[in-house]
Amino acid sequence: MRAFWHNSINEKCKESYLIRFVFKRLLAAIPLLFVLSIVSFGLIRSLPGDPVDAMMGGNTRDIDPRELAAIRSEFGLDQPLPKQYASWLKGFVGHGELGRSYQDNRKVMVVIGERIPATMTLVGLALVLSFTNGVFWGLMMILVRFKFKNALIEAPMLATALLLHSIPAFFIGLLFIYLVTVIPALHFIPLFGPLAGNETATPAALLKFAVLPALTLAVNRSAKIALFVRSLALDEITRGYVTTALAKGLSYSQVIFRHVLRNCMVPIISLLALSLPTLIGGSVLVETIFAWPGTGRLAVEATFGRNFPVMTTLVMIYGTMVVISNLIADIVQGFADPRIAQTIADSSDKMNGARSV
Amino acid sequence: MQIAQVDNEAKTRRTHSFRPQLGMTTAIVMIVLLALMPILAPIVHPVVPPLTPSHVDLAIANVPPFTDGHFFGTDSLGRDVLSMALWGARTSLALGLVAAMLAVTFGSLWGAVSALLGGIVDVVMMRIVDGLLAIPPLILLLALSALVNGPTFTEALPRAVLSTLDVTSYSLGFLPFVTVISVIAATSWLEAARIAHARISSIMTEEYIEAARALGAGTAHTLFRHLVPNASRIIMIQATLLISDAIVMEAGLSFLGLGLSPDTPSWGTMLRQASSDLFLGNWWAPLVPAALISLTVLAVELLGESLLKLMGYDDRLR
Repeated sequence: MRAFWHNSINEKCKESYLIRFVFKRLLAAIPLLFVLSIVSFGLIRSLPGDPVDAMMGGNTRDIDPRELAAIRSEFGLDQPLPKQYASWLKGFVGHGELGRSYQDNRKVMVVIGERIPATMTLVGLALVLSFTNGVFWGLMMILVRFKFKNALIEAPMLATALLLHSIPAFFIGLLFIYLVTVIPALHFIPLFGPLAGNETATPAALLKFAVLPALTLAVNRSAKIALFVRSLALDEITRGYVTTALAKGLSYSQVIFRHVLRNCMVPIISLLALSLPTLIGGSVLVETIFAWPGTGRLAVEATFGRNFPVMTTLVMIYGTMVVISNLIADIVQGFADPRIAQTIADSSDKMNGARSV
Repeated sequence: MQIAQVDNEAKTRRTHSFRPQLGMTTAIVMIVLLALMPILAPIVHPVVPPLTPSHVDLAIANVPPFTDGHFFGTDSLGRDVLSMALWGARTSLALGLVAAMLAVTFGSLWGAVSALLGGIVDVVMMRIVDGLLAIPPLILLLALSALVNGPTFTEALPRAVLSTLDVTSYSLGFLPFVTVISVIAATSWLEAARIAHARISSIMTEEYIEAARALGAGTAHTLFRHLVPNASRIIMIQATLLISDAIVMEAGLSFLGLGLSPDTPSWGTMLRQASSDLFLGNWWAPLVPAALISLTVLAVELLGESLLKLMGYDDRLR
C-alpha cells in the first residue's frame, strides 16, 4: 500500500514537471535580483565621501555640521549599511527610502514613474516592429532562395540586412529627422511630439508620436532578427518534413510561413528576450535624439547631473525588467518545447535555471 | 582528435551556410583598409595647418567634397573631414583594440577561474556576471561614467594617478581617453567571462583533461597547457567582436556628450558635432564617420560570424 502511494506521487511529480520547471526558473531569478540590488545600491556607496557630499556637489565643507547631521538622519544615512540597504529595497514596494532626486528634491519613484509609460510605449512598439519585420524579412530571403533558387535577388536583401544591422541607431534617427523635415511629402509624420505637450501623456496619446523613434530603434534589431531567422530557416529547409509538405502539394510560401516558422519559433523567442537590453540601451540614444520624455533621457540627464539616487534606481528597474523578460522567455520556451522544460525540471543542478541572460 | 571533429562539423555546416569563406575574405579586405587609415594618417595628412584635424577656419566651412583639396569636404567649423576621419581612426581603433583586450583578458580569467574552482565559488562568481549582464550595457556605461566623472571621485584619487590619467576636463562632463577605455572595458568583460566560462566548463568534462589529471597534472598545468589553448580560439573570436562593440559604445557615449572631449578626434566625437551640420545641408560631415563606424562593425561581425561558422560553433545568440 505504502509503495503504491509512493509510486503514484512519483508519477504525479513526473507529470507536473512543467510546474517544477517554472518553479526552478523563478528560484533562479532570485540570486540575479540580489546581485542587481547589491550593485545598484553599491553604485552610490562606492563614491568616496558620503552621499550628502555628492548631493552638495562636494562642497560640504562650507555647511554647518549640525545641518549636515540633520540631512543625514532625514535620509537615514546615519543608520548602519544593512539597515539602509533594507530600507532602500523596501522603497521599491513603496515603504522605504529610495532617496530624492538631487535636481528637484522630488521622490525618486515619482520622477521615474512619470517617465515609464513613454519608454514602455517606445520599447514595446520597437519590439513589435523589429519582431514582425525581422521575421518577415528573414523568411522572405529564404523564400526567394528556396523557391526561385536565385542568389541575385537574395544577395541584395542579405546585404541590406547586414548593412542596416551595423549602422549606428542614432545616425538612422538623424537621417529620419532630416528626411521628414526636408521632404514635404513626409511632413505629416509627427516629430518631437510630446515635447510640446505635457510630459505625462498616456501611452495611447504617445503612440502616434512613437512611430518614428520606434522605427529608428527597430531598424538594427529587425536586421539582426532577419539574419538570425534566415540562418535558422536555412537549417530547417533541409529537413524531411519540408520535403514531405512540398511533395504533398503545399506551396513554398505555405511551407515556409507555416511549418518552418513554427519550428524556428523557440530560438526566436529567446532572441526576442535577449533583444530587450539592446533596445533599452538604444532607447537612451533614440530618446535623446527625439526629445522623448522617457526614462532613457532621464538616465542621460541623471548622468550629467550626477543624480545618483535616480541613476541607481534606474539601474535596478532596468535590470529587473530584463530579468523578468528573460524569465518569461524561458517559461514560454519551456511550454513551447516541453523537452527543454523536462530536462531542466529533472536536472539535479539547482542553479541550472539561472541560464545566463 | 578534437580538431578533426570540429573540421568535420565545419564541413557539414559549410554546405548550407552563407559561405563563410566569402564573408571572411570581404571582412579581411575591409579590415585591412580600415587598419591602413591610422597608419596613413600622418603620411596623407601630416599635421600642417589647413588640413589638421582640429584646424578651425570658418571661411571654408561646409565646403562640399572634392573641392580645394578637401576630399570629403569640411564641417561647419571648416575642419577637413578626411583629416578628422584619418586621425579619428587612430583614436577609435586604438580604443576598440585596447578596450577589447582589457575586457577579454579580465573576463576570460574570471570565467576560467570560476569554472576551475567550481562549487559555491563558481556559483557566486557567475551569478555576479549574470546579475550585471541583466543591466543594459549602455545604462551600465552611463552609471559608470557618472561615477568616475566628477569632483568627488577625482579628488579622492592621488595626484600622481590623476596626472597619468590626464584628468583635466571632468567638470565639462567629458572623460579622458584612458577613462573611456576603462569604462567600456568594465562594461564589456561580462560577455567574455560568460563565453570563457561556458567553453572551459565544457572542456573540463572532456576525457583528456581527466587523463591529464590522472597522470598527476596540477591545476596550473591543466589551466595553461590544456584549458587555455583549447578555449583560446573562441575567446579570440569573442575579442574581435568586442572591438566593434567598444567602438559603437564610444560613439554612443560621445554622441551623448559623455565620452571623449570634442577636441579629441574620434569617429564618435565627429558624429556628435556633425549631427547638427546635417540640418545645414551638410550631409558629408556626418556620413563619413557613420559610414566608418558601420564598416568597422560590419567587417568585425562578418569576420566573427565566419570564423564561428568555420570552426563549427553555430549557437551564438547576441
